[in-house]
Amino acid sequence: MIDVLKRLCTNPGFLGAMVATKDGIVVKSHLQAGMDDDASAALVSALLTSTTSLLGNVGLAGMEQIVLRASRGKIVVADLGIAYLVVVADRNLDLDSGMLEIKSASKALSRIGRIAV
Amino acid sequence: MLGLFKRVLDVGQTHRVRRRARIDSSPRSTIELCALLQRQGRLLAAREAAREGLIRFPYSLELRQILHATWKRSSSQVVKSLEGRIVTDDSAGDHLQLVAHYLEFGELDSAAEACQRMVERHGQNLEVVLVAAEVLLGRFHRDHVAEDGSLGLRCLLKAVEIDPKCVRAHWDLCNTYYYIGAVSKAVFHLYKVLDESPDHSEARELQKILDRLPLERLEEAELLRRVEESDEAKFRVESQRGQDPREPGVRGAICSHLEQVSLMAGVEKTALSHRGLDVVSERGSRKIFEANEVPDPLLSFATTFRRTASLSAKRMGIGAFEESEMCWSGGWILALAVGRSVLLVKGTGSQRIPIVRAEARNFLAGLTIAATEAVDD
Repeated sequence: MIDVLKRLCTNPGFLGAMVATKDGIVVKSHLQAGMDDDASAALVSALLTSTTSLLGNVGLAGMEQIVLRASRGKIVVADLGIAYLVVVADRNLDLDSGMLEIKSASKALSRIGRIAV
Repeated sequence: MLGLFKRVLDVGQTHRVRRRARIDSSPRSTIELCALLQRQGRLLAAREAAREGLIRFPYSLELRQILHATWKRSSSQVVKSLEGRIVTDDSAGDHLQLVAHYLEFGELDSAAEACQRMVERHGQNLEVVLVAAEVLLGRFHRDHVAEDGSLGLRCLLKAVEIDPKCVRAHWDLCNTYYYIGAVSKAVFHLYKVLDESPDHSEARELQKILDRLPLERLEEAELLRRVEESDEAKFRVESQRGQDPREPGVRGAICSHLEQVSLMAGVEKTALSHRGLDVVSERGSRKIFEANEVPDPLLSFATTFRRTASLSAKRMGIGAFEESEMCWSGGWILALAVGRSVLLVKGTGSQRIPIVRAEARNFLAGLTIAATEAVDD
């Protein structure tokens, strides 16, 4: 799993990646120095929980992916079923090409998840 | 001959687009001008057009991206040469030149990194700490991240330690404390400014405002945290150019533009919350929600999501929340934010996302055109 994350982070513009459970526990992490793994996982989990709940209020469910862009970076969260893949990227990274890498990493990680269960 | 003819056509086309960009109330034409200049190979002209466009539309993400891309392509040699001089010379002047270059093109994050190195090596130089404070507080005003504000204030306090009579440092401290609501500290530094510079007209004007305000009850750290959580300052200065939804005619114009976005192919519904105006538009028709009405669920989603995403982005260290894209098998939702204003677009067809996003960005950038923000009475 860590190899998948490390390979993902070799792509230009990708600053870090981690896999976290839906209740905010870090499974594996490869974030850049200065980023707190546990705090990041907890924050992403809180964001996703509230977003899923809010989407439920408007009659929507089953979010597959969320991209959050901020002034100093981007976060991509992909649903792996039992966990989430969180990728931190440079603000100016063109995600059109980056998403292919994230999707293939998601597939690889989902397969690992199934094998582990 | 053909080359000359093509150049004449290019010049004519550029003039037409430039004229349109001057009167367009959205950044669309300015973005088109930048793209046209880039296609013509006129990188510096594209960079300048993006820079001028950002003065008019400071919240346009497209223009910021264009400026960053053109700056990177045109200035990489300049940055390399300045960094080379720092490695060989390491004088304060070289560091300051590099930071000034970054600031000229709005590269606040690169400037902040350069400032960190600069302060580590020349932390006793007055000009160095003043410039570092300027950069950090610029970032604080942009992102409302408490840590930037705190570091900026520390730099200014270091500056007054180095030179207790530095008017610029006291004035910047006064303004920053005023911005976050620390009235007593703002008054303290205001009187320091007036002691050294009794004819400081801006200080005299600010004195009239500060004299009327109640003193703060919270510590500085708590005030900074409140600014971070609310995405705005407690005290703000009068706007000279802004689309205030309370102004007659502006509300109608904003809603009409929103309806146009809702009519785009792939868009099902839009929701906007902007400075007291809450409106939802679906297939060209609108509903405005007054303060005592129960808002549309999509509107509630927009404001709650913006708050959550904003705090999460800041706490994760990636700055101020700008936009988000949520996808599922049946469709997508785009959420775009500037400060406390949020625009939400719900739609179907993932291939429509880039087009709708560009249009939504232009709408929001045109909406929030302002040199500075409005005051609370």
